[in-house]
Amino acid sequence: MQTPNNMNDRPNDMYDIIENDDLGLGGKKLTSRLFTGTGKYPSDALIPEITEKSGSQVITVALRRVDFKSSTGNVMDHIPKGIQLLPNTSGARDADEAVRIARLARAVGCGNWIKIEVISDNKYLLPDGYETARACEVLAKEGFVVLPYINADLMVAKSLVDAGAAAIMPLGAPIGTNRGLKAKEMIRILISEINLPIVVDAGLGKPSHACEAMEMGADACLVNTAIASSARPVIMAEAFGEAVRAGRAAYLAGPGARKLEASASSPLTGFLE
Amino acid sequence: MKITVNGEERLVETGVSLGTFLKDNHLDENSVVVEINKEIAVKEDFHTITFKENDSLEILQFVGGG
Repeated sequence: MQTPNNMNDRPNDMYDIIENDDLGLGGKKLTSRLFTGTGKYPSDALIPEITEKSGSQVITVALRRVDFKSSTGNVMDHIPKGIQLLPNTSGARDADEAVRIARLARAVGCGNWIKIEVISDNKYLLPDGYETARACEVLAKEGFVVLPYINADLMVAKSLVDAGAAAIMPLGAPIGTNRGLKAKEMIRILISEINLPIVVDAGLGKPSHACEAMEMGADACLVNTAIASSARPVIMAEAFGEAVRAGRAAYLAGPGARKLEASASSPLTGFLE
Repeated sequence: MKITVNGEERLVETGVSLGTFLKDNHLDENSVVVEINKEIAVKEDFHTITFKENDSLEILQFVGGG
C-alpha cells in the first residue's frame, strides 16, 4: 500500500527492508546476521533446532583432542549441512599456537574460515590484540577467512584491517558473563571508523543486547552462552534471531533524533483554552 | 612399537597404517585431523602412512565451542 512517505518503491515492511540486506563475508552472502556458538549446550542434539529457530548460518566450534574413552558422538553429527563452520583457536595463548590450531582446523576439511581467539588471561578471558594481529597476518596470507576476536580497541582493529582480516569481532562483555554491551561506546567507534563488518561477539546475554548492537550499526552478532545457559535454549535462540532482525531493521529505517527537552506527541488542544 | 597418542603412550603393531589405526579406534577419518611429530598428515595418505618408534601423534576433532 502506498503511503504519503513512500518514495519510489522503498520497502515499507520490516521483513522487506532486511530481505535484500545480505551480509557479504568471506565470499558468501549471509541472509542472517546472527552467528551462534555450540559450546556449553545441555546436549549437542539441540543444535539442529537452535540453528533452525535462530536462523543462524554461521556456527562456531572448537578443536580438541579426541577422547578415546568417551563414546559420545562428534558435534559435527549435529550441525546441519550447508552451514558455514567457524572454528575458533580457543586454547591458543599466543600467535604461534593460534596459527597451529587454524591450520589443523582447516585440515579437518570443513572450510577455511577461522575465528582467532588468543587468550592468556584466565580470569576475564580477554583477548591479546597484539598476538591476534600477528596470527591474522600469517593466516590471511595463507588464504584463511579470518574473523579475529578482540577488545573493542580502534588501534588493534586498524592493525587487523592491515593484516587482512575479513571482519572484526569486538567483545560486548567478557565471555560467558551475559552482561551485555558493556563496551558499547568503544564498539560504536569501531562501527564508525572501521571499513570491515563488525560482529559483536561475547557477553551478549539477552536479545535486547543484540538488538541494541544492531540498532547501533553492528553488522552481526555472535551469541553462545546466552542461548546455552537459558532454561529454554531453542526459544532463546529464536528470540535472538528476531532481536537481530528487529535491530537491523530499526537501523535501516533510521531512528528519530534524541532530545534533551520533551516534544509532545499529541497536537495542542484548542478546546481546553 | 611404542608411540604417543594425545599425550598417552600406546603400543601398536609394526606396519599398521594410520587409516587402520583410526578405524580400529572407531574414528571417522573425515572428521578428524592428525598431526604426526607436529606435521599435519594429509588425509589422502592416511592409508599409506605407517608409524615409527616414538612417533608423537595428536588426533583432534571439532567439539562444541563459542
